[in-house]
Amino acid sequence: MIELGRYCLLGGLSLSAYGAVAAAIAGRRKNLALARSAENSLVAAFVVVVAASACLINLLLTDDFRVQYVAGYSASNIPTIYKFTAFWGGQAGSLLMWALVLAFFCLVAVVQNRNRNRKLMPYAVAVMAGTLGFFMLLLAFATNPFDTFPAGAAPADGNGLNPLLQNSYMVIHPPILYLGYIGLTIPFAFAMAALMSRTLDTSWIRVTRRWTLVAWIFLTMGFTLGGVWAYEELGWGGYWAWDPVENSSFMPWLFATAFLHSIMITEKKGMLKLWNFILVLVAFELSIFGTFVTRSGVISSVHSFALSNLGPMFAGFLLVSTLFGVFWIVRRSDQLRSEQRMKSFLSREATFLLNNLLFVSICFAIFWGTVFPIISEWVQGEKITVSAPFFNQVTWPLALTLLALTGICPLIAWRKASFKNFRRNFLIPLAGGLLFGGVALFLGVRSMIPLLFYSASGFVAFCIFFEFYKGARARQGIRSSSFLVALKDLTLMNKRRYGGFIIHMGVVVAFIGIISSSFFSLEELVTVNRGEEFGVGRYTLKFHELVQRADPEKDVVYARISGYKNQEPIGNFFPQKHFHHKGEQPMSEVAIRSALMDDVYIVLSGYNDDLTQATFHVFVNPMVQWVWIGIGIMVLAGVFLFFPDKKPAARTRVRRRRERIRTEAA
Amino acid sequence: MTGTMAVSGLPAPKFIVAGLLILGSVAYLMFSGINDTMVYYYTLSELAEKKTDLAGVGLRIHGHVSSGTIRIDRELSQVDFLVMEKKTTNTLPVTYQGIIPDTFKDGAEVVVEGTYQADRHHFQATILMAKCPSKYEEAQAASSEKPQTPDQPY
Repeated sequence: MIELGRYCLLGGLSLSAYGAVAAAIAGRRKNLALARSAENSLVAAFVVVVAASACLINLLLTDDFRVQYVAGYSASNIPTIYKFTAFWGGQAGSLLMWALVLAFFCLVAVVQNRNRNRKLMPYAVAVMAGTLGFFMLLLAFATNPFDTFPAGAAPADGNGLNPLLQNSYMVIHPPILYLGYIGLTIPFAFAMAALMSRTLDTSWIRVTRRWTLVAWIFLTMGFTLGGVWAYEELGWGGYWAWDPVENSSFMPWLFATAFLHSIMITEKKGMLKLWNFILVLVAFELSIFGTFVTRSGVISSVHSFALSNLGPMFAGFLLVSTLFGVFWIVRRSDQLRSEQRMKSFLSREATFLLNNLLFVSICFAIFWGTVFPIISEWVQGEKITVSAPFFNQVTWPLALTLLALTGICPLIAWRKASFKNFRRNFLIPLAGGLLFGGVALFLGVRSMIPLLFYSASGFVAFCIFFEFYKGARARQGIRSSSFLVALKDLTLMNKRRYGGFIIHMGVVVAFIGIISSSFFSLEELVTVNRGEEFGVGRYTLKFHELVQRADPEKDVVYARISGYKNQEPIGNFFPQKHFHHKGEQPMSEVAIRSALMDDVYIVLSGYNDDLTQATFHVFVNPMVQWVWIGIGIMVLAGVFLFFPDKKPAARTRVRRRRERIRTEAA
Repeated sequence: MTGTMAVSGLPAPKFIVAGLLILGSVAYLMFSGINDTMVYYYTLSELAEKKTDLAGVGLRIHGHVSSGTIRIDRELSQVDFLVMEKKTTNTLPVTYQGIIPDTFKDGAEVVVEGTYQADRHHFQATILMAKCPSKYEEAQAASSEKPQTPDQPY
């Protein structure tokens, strides 16, 4: 099994190397047979990587501790599900999973496009195979998951999996995030193919829009699951700490989002062509950078950087692929000129460009803050770090402007907005913004930043509602139907526009949640005796007792607390401390009661030896659920957008046939 | 390039000015953000060298908890302990008030953030982060891999 796994890795490396070279030559010489052969080698590479992954999973499930990776991340007595998830628990395994997902995406992209985009295919295959080859190279030579201990040195049992990671969110969080990262490889491949083959119409955008959307959906889910995990497991009361790993999952998302917006301008107006290529290139590089940061811990511990041979290899790949991308963008730049000039600041083109600049600026600020320790150490010889306060301080003005643009961009007129256009579209939303701000003021919000954000949220929400209303009314005018039916038809016939509005609605909901939970969270650290009561905000909590319990694999100490909101009981809380027999550190299990308006969040922080007195860290976090709901709306609407517009079936069939005839003729 | 003529040349001056203004304000935000919030990251020996001019400067110190020095006062939720550097004999007394992480214990690798009083040789910490010297990391170090840190504010 071990040998087979190793051969599979080498096989995958050779197949992808062959695929990359053959496809590049096929593209240059216009050799169809060679191009097909390169495509087939990618398909074969997928089979081989599946086999390698199956080998590793088999070794994990059979507790083969001769293998260093198995001994490092699994153990004989952990639940089977965690033996399986140890596949991506460590560095080597997670890189193998990267390769597996990439090979799968390549397979799908090949099957999807082999008859449709012949001109793009050879070069796209070359880039995909090249990227896959890089990961196979890492796996085969730098961090091989099939490395064994020297004979006789194999341990009797493995180390097991860190209890913090034995959690259902941690089971799905890394794979989902990876799907997002890797999904950005395909747009990059097709963008490069468009440049190399001079197919600079919008055909590459048609292929990549949906791939970018897929990546965007998974990235959104990925960092959100990370946030939910941090919130429920780490016990510091928040869900986002701006640490390097979180940041590096957020950065490619920002570029993917910018790209999904800028291509609309390209499709409609033939502008921002060059810009799209830059966005795709940077999004791809950031996804590789993110994988690297996540896997290597390079930023949290700079000094370990030199020890790993992965660092230079990743840096090399980032450098080579960036130079490659920049070379082709520069080479074709004179063919990427805009077809029109921008006329006015008050136009849809200009506001879209501004939204793109803001996405990129936010990303740049986050990138700078994330790598600042490394850079300052290089430049000044002193390590200077920045943390959450920096990111909050820099991003809020940018995020506020971006939020306001969410309302303005889709409604403002093309070319140059007239005063009439303004009044017609924005008078009611402006009133909505004032309404939201006024309500917040009435409810006691006195600080400026949240008031600005609530007003902007109201403005955007009214923009969207008003737009749906106008659209449905207009549709009712054409064919008389009920308002709700008109609303439904409107949305289904015009998915990209109205699906986008639904995503924006999710953004508004999430922003309200983020602002409320960051600005109005209450926090209390209390030490109380048995039977004592304490209050946090409008909640009263009564500490009854501490209880000890012995489970098979751990000892548990839990507190029983009953909660009251304005004297009404809201149920019991059982914050706990777990002492895993195999783990060395105790783990706090947070007790959370979530409601739409606020979460009560209790951590058992400590207690005295005879269990009569306990210290609790209590948070009341307003509207955290809004964050999850808002992002949930964004993801669902994204999935909805993924499917094509509703069209009469017969017409689609005819068009498909016509397309097939056209490609065969070509 | 379907039908329409490509437009060449630079965009109108007003857009260049506007673009520069945006870039300038982003740069300003970042510059002032770093100045307001930056924190120096020192090991204990680096701290020993710099001692003099650190009054009021935000600092992060990395080290290990010296075994047997942890004194916890539950009433005040305060903890006093000694941070030591493994390679040298440098130590630093630290006082921290707030929530104590589960991973904080004898021998744990810690990062404390706060301010340093040179006259008392004492560190007042506002943030305490601890990483347990767990077998997971040792095992990984043995196989020359990096410690796998969960998404913690490190």
